[in-house]
Order: sequence, then C-alpha cells, then structure tokens
Amino acid sequence: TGDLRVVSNLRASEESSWVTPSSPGRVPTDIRKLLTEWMFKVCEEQLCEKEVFPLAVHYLDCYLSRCSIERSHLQCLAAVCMFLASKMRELVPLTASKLSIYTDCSVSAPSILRWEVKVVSRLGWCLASVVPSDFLEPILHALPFVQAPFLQIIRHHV
Amino acid sequence: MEQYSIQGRIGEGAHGIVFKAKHIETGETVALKKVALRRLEDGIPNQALREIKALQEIEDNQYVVKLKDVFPHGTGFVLVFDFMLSDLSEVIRNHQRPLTPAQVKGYMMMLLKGVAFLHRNNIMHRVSALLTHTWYRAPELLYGARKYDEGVDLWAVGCIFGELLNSSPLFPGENDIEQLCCVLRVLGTPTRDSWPEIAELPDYNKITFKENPAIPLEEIVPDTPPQAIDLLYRFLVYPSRQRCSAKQALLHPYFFTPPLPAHHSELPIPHRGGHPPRQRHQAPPTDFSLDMPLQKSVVDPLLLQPHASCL
Repeated sequence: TGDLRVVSNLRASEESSWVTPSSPGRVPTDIRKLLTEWMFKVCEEQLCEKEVFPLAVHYLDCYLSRCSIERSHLQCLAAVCMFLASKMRELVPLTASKLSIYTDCSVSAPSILRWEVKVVSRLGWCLASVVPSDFLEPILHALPFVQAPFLQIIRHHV
Repeated sequence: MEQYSIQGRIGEGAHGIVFKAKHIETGETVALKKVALRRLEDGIPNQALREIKALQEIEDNQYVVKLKDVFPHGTGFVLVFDFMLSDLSEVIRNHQRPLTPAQVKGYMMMLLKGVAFLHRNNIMHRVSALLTHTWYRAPELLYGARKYDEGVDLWAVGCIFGELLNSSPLFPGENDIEQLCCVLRVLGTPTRDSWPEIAELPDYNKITFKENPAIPLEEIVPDTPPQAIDLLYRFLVYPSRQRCSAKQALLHPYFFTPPLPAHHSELPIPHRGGHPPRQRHQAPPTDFSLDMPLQKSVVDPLLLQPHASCL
C-alpha cells in the first residue's frame, strides 16, 4: 500500500524546479538534439542508472535558461551535467577523466572540474530535482491491483 | 570574496581552512570555510552537494549553525557560516574549568534541541565535529551497517553526555575494533535477545568477543545523580530503534530537577587552542542588578523639578 502524499510532494518539487522556456543561452533545437544524443550514448555505454540521463538534461536546460554560453563550451557543459547527475544518483559516479575521454579529449578533465563549481552555483545548488521516473515507484505502490510478483515486469517494461 | 575582510585563521576542517572574517557592508563577523578542490580529483564531493543544499533549505534555528552564503572562489568554493565563539569539543576538553551540573544540563539541552530540530526535518547529522575519532560511532556502524537511522545521532548524543558528565570520553577507542571492545566492555556482549538485529549486520560473524556482563553505568559515570544516569541509559542501548528520541529526551525529569539547566549566557566560553578561558564579566551591568536597592536606580525628583512643574 502506497502513500499518495509522496506523489503530491514529488509534484510540488517538480513544479518548483520548472524550466522557463525563455532562455538567454538558447541553443538551436538541432544542436540541443545533437548534444543530448551524445549524452544519451555516454550514459548508455557507462551503464548509468536510468535517472542520470534525464537529470543531466534537466540541469542542461536549467543552465541554458539562465545563462548564455559560447558554442564551444556546450560539450563541456553537457559533460558537467552528466558528472553532477551521476554524483547525485549513483553509488560509483562517473569521473571527470572518463567524461573527458568521451569528448575525444576536446574537453579536459580540469576544465570539467572548473566548470562544475560554476554550474553548481549558477543552478543555486538545486540538484535534487525530480525526474519523471521518480513517480513510478510511489504510483505502482499506490495501485491496488498491482501485485508484488508483477512489479519487476512492470518496472522492466516502463 | 571582496565583500569580506579576513581577520584570522580559526582552524582546519576535513575539507578546508576556516577563517574568521568580517562582512564589510554589514560589519557582521562570519566564519569562511574555503573548500579547495585542487587536490580532489573528482571535483565537488557528492556529500558536499547534498549537505550544502540541506543547509540552504533548513529554516533558521537557534541551535543549528546557519549557512549564510556559498560562492565559487579560485578552484573551489567558499562557505559562509555564522561565526561561533567556541565549539563543543573545546568545551569538553577545557580542563581548567570543569563544568558544573547545571552547565552540563545547559549544553545537553542545546545539543538535544539542535538534534531534535534536524530529526524533525528528516536530517541525520551523522558526523559531529568530533568525529575525527571513532568514539561516537554507534555499534551498528561498527558492525558495518549500511542501512541505519537517526539512532546513530542519538548514540553520539549519549556518548557526549557521558563525556560531559565525566570530563573524559566514555568509549575512547583508537580504531573500529578497539571501539567495539570499549562499548562491549561497558554495555556487555550483545546477544540476540538484547539486540535482535545484530545477526543481520555485515560484520557480525567476522569477529567475536569474550562474553562479559554489562557494567552498571553508575560505576562508569560515578558521582552522577540518578536522573542523569537514567537518561544516559536511554541513549546507550544496542537496538537503534529503542534509543530515546531527542524530542522525548528534552522532556526527561533530568531537565526539570534542580540544578536547572544553565542559561546559555551562563556558560563559559573556552578559548580556542586550549588557552586559559577568557574571563566573562561575571556580574551583570549594575543598572540591571536585582540585588541593588531600588532608590539607587530611581532618578532624584529634585533633579527633575526645574523641568517639570508638577513636581
């Protein structure tokens, strides 16, 4: 039996970190697509927890909605977002040097570290954001017809 | 950083150097903790990411130090905290002036109010400023528990209470194993009856100790009133769930029997670095002294006569 308060609390914190579409650092859609596809590939190859990718994209959008950025720094920003998301959601997080390798060393590990502090303070240290999959468990537990043996199967399909 | 003028070095923490500084605009004295990331290969530690957000989120509380600001600086970042005159470890290790029972009560009350506030906000403190030692580590952690609860804080509170009463650490282990020995020697070897969850702890089967019975706490903390002993017993129990919560502890008769807890203005401020304590003005300003005859603080009506015709 679940507690629906969890869902409404998640909703509330999701709303509080909503990204406003008007953005000084707006990047063209095709470039954002390119960037997020690269992030997805990295997360997949590194077998990251499923929440890491959407969280990293959320950081990316948050940052771009607040600050403008030079085109040449976009990949560094994307790497930092994955770096942070992985720290928040994984036991053994991605390292800066590993991420640097995925950029074909065009972004160095020290510059990832340098940007990390910058990104974190621009985001106001608000890193514990809610991602859609966070709703899955509380909803599954609140549904009366979901029985324990099927939980694994449902999780897998989702 | 330009907003602050540094006035001196306070000390070195686990993550960086702490400075005393003045906020130029407001004149407020603060503690600046400089966290340099140069040596850390993996950037900002993930505990710091969580802790800073938690500190930002919690509302003002008199018993929890406030994080006033955080900003990037050099290769790391700077945390701005309230400036504290002293800390608990200085109080405990200040041997020049043993604490009076009322002062111990005062410190315990402050400590419990802070812990109660954090627990009410679902925050486990986990590390105390004193945790350079294993002295305050709860037995479940010593047995390698990976899942634990706020009981670990309540154990630490119990250890600190014992230390305040005794002016020496309750379980002064040098490492995890020795620490466990110290605890077991006093509380007795745990059994499945006294601690049912013990069998599930990761390191339970890795080490066995010679069986010994518990030593009454009255012998460990001698010359202590029974109420203090009773409260101490409520913190120092093996099953974490059975430890007395901070909120409950504040209602314990210990705090309501004389000598009553000392008000924080009556607590000594030990000087940093083990120097002799600074002398606090013992007597309150004479204008406000309760023992002074009333006539002395009343203005002589004759002096007012030229200004008020009714006199």
